[in-house]
Amino acid sequence: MTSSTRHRQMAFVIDLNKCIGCQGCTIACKRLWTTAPGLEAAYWMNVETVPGRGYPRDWAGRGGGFDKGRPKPGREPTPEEYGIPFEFDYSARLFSGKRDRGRPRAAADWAPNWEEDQGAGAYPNTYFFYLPRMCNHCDRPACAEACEAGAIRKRPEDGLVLLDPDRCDGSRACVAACPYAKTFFDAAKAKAHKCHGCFPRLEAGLAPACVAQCTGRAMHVGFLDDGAASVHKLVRQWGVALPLMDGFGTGPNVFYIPPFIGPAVEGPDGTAGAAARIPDNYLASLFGPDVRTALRVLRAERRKRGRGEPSELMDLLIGRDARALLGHLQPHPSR
Amino acid sequence: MALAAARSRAYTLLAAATAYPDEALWETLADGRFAAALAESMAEATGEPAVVAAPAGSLAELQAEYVAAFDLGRGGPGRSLHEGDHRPAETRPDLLVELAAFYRCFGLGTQHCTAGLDHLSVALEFMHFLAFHEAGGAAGSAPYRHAQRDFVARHLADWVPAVAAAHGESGFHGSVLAAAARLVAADAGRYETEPAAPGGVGAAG
Amino acid sequence: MGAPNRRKFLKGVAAIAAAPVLGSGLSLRSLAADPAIRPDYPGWQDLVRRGWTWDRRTRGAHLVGCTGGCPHWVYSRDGIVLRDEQSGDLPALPGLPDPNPRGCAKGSCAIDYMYGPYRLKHPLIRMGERGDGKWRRASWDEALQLIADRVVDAMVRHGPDSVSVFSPAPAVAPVSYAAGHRFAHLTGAHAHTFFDWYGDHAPGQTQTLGVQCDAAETSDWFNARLILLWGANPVQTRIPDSHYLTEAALNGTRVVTIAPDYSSSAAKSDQWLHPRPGTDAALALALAHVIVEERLFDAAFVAEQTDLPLLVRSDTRRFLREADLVEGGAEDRFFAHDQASGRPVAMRGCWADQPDTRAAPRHAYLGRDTLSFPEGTLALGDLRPALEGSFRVRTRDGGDVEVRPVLELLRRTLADHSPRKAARITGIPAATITALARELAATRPATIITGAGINHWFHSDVLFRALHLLMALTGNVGRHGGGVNHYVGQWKPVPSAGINALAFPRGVSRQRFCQTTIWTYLHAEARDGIEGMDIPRRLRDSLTSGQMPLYPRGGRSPKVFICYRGNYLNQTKSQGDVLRTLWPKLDLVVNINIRMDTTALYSDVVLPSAHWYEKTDLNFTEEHTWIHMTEPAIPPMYEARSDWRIFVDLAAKVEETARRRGVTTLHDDEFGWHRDLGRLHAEMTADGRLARDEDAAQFILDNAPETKGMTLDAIRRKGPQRVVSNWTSPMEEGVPYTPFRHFTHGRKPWPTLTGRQQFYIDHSLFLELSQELPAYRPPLDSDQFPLRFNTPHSRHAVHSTFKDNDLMLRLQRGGPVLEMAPADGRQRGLADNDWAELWNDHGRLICRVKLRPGEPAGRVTMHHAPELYQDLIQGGSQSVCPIRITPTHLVGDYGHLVFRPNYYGPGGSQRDVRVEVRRYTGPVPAGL
Repeated sequence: MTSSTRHRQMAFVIDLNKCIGCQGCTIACKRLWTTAPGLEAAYWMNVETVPGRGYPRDWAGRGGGFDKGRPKPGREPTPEEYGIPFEFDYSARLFSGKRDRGRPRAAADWAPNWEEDQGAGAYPNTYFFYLPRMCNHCDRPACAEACEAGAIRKRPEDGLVLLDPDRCDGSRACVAACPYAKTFFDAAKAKAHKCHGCFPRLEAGLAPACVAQCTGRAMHVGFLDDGAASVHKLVRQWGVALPLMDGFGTGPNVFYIPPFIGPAVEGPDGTAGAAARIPDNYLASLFGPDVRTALRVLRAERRKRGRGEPSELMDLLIGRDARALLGHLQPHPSR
Repeated sequence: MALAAARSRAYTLLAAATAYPDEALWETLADGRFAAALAESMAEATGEPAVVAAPAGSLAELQAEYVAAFDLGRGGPGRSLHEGDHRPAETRPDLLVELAAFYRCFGLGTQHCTAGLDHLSVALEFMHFLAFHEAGGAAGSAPYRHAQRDFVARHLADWVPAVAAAHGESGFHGSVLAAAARLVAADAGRYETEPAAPGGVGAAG
Repeated sequence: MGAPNRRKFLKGVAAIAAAPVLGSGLSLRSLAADPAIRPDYPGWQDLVRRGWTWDRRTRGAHLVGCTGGCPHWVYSRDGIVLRDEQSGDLPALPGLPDPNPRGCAKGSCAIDYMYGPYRLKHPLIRMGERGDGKWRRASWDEALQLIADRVVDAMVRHGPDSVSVFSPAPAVAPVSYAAGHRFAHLTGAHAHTFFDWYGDHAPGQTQTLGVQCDAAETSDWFNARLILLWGANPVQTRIPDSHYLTEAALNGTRVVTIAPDYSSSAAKSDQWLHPRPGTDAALALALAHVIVEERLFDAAFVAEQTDLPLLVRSDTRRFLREADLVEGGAEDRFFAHDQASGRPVAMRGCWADQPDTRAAPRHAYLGRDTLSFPEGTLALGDLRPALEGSFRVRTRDGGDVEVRPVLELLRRTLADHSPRKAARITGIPAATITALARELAATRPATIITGAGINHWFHSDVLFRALHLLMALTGNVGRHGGGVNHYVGQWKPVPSAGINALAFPRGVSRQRFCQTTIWTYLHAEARDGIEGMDIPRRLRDSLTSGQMPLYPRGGRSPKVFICYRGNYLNQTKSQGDVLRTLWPKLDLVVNINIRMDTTALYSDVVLPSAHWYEKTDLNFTEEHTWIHMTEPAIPPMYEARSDWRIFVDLAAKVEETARRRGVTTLHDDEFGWHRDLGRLHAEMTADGRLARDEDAAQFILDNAPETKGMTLDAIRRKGPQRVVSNWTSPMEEGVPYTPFRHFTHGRKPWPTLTGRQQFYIDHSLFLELSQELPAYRPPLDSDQFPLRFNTPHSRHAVHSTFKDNDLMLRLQRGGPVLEMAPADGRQRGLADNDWAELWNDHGRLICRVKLRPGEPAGRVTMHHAPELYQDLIQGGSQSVCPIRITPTHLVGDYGHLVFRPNYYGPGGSQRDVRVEVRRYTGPVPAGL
């Protein structure tokens, strides 16, 4: 890496108002990259219902990342925390005359989307939303710093954090170090693995699969320094896209538009009050104190559209043209 | 060459016996010719004859037994005769692509393969084909030998012994699977001690 | 490969197939050697290195009971399908959000049904008892011969109508659908309705509009300024459409969810109203109450477009008819009081005004074909119909009777539906109701998006009439971004004339359609547990008077049941009765399927069908207006055949069997049709013109006005093509399809008895039940159990399809769950993920519990129709849901209320099921 190399950062923005929890990104990613035997429990991209314990279970409380700039020890999630993947043997029932039902071979007590739609709060003041999570391709990747084999590097041309399996020595240090639990270990090959931003697609000018296949049209991708890219406008200009748990100190490059549309809290007489149902404090615990400003801006801009006035911000989020969400990238192979 | 010829014969017999039982197979089973031929070729190929249990009852019963045992789906944990059933369902296309590529390298079409590309009988038939040409000798046999080595290591040795173990040795199909597992294991052991293939064998051949 | 080569090649294969087992030479059975090719083996690394590249890209669609209609590309190499991805080439409409990428996670799992363990590979014949899962493999010839023998037996001994063919949803795969229906048509077998049976049809919409159903394409949601998601959860159940909802919200549209639970869609809404389950009509009528009382309604729209000005006699409660006034006057001509002239005036467009050019039943989705009327028929001109007041008219027999406009009567009915009263019934504060009513009246366009959530109530018709009333009062009908939009079921085979021509070559009126709800109810001798509604007598009357059909006729039982493209047994209500009583009546159950599902498991013969990526078919949806297609990425794997080919082959076999037995001529009394089974194969294929799937698909395109001029080839090359015309509105360039504009803007009469949106139904049964106007009816209390049982659609499955997919199950809990309020769980000692037993008088199921805070107390939810072999210890969702027949759905002798397949008939009622739940303490079997 020389000082003349231009460092650029590919960033993602996920609009939690548009994410419908359909798991389209989860499956798009899963089918493309983590289908090899032994990787069943690995989800480079997952969507979890929050508030909740997430995937892997209680991922946010395992340490990792940095504390006042110094690496903070972390713990590798256990197989049970990822969830033992369900295996089924329907054929024994369907074709071989076995009377029993097809049920998971292992006890089913955790899975990547185990808490779907549960959330928090007592009826009728229940609340939840969907939080897609992927590698943050951080400015200061804890996984890379923890790797003594030098197998993980942040490449300058797009800031993607890539893991070289040939150099990986299977120490698992990166798995423990990532505070987001987005590095994984493949026990069969004794190698770590992680989201690589679909770099083979990027190099062909295509958007990553999770973005390209998002039917909720909730994901944006592009260079953070590209003034024309929606990610730049949402993160840098409008300041309404915020990183998840920035306190881990890694400088995430996946940003979220906080959920700002939703029913208000209901009073005991059944009428709606003024307060938002999702507590601001909860959102601040995920997206930092700036979320309050972001919510204010977002609500004000939406009200403009309600009055029939223009709003560049709402137009950015609506993204009438699918390509407008993708920076310079294309959605699908042309042939 | 004699070894390859024996293996070729053993593989074709095992391929026939692991396919859905038909009239042709039944005839040779009924009069004992199949058992004799397999015993002889296995003895030559592995140094030990195979003992095949004679099927009881009728062809229809053998067919029903075949279906219940492993023809359809996974047929119980680890018992399916489809290689793809021993891996995650979503990886099957990768597997099939690789198998088709193996077959196509030798000019073998799969258009009429109703059993499925990854069925054991097809794989054994492929080995029969390769061994047959290896036995044919001459200078061009290297690709056939190398492909057998790779095909056994990447595929058959990976799952056939496990299927045979899951099924047990009882009955006609159990004894056939046991023989197949033994032949595959013998091949795998022999190939392990052979030097690796030089690159670009195809171009040389 | 040229044709001569191919023939030579096939000959070679035939020779190889006969290779001896013991031969000492080269012996190939499955693999076909081409001696011209020299071996070229570069080592396995090079084989693998080619990785994810493809050499073929073909068009693909997912031909399941899904309304998505999501065009995909299918990537394959060497005859193996590698993956699929949304094609991304649906054109966007100007100013509206991009429709791409369209397709969900389930679609991405489509190829698992090609390569997964549930795939059917060979024809199978049952060995053990039905449902045992014990099979032997059969050749196609043996399996088809067995079926043909039983079919011919049944035809000869019991009559052709003792054979029954079930296949739903023509829109998703019209060629496949038509295959079995054409076979039934030509042999005289009876066929099944599905739209009503599945509870997708909204009888209240047909009662009001005289239309089977019609809805806006979903991009039109973006045009709304107020969206009421009423009992609908599009975020989960209309995944590729829901971006229009979130984008409308970002665009300033207010979204209100009306549903008992805090759903995924409620979370995306500005306001969430949670009426007690089944009380929605009380809320809807209270909204109407405010709009009428405060005179917030659109009087001009109501006067021109609805029956609210029509006069009703106070003495008989029936409409004032021309026959009441003049000798020889028409029974179906109706009047309004013209304030300009002070006299009753016959309103134009009534049933009696049907012009002589009455169209053939080409538009089977309309109560009558009013599209042939001139535009402007409904225009009032100088008329000023009174909407209120009381008038007197002199009848032809000299009587002097009071007549009042419908709106006047409606006002009285609504008086009983005040917000205060609705608040007591629904639990929603009166002030909230009043505010919403005012907002609804003041915001245009406003739309109601709805679906199965409320359509499965026993009294759903009343509710839908009330919803239509709201949209009519506020003038939101036929307006872009407005209207009642009901999205349930794949009910809209847009080019229906083309599909009908293929499926019913001598006309749909010569197809023996049974009404599946009634068929199942009677043949399964289902116990509905309802007392006091006189349903058996009403049903008998409806059947004997020919209002609703039943096959086989004359009290006989069906003998042969052929089911394909539908999981009848898994989805049926009264499932226990169907298995216990209907199934044993069937001598032969045939299933044609890509996978072993519950119906296949309980069949006698199972035939392997080509997967969606192995055949040619078309694909339509009501959610957008683009036609797309699927085509073979690879030939059918294993021994599978396309549905079209299977029925062509079966026709040949039946013909051969009939010839052999000398029973080729059958006289069909019902239609006066001399059936010649000796020509069955020729008729099935139109003398060879429809031999292939592609021929059949093109035939559909060629025979419908909606697809005029389209070719398969153009769809393949250019991508999805927009239909050129549509059901109830013209297609406009660059504008989303919004239904009913032929009536609202073209001012052609509505296809109802009165020619107007009809809220007053003066049929004797409606009068007897006091349902001549929409009036709130509480949910049934027939089941004496404390909890309501709610069985909605699922995010991770399309009915039962994908329910068994490993990847999908890993994103759930590995099997079906029962969602319940934490309080209800606590009360029963149930913790999250415990096993629970759920039962009522109809059946029992045992499954795991998921405590969900958004679920209201007093209700439990299970996503409907898990397969009977899935991870429950016992039963399935349909074990406890009986078939219940709503009397008003049996009417078939009133203007636009007639039986026509999938147009009108008894439908769903599964929301009215009550159950009890307790902790399950029995043994939990280990997995297989």
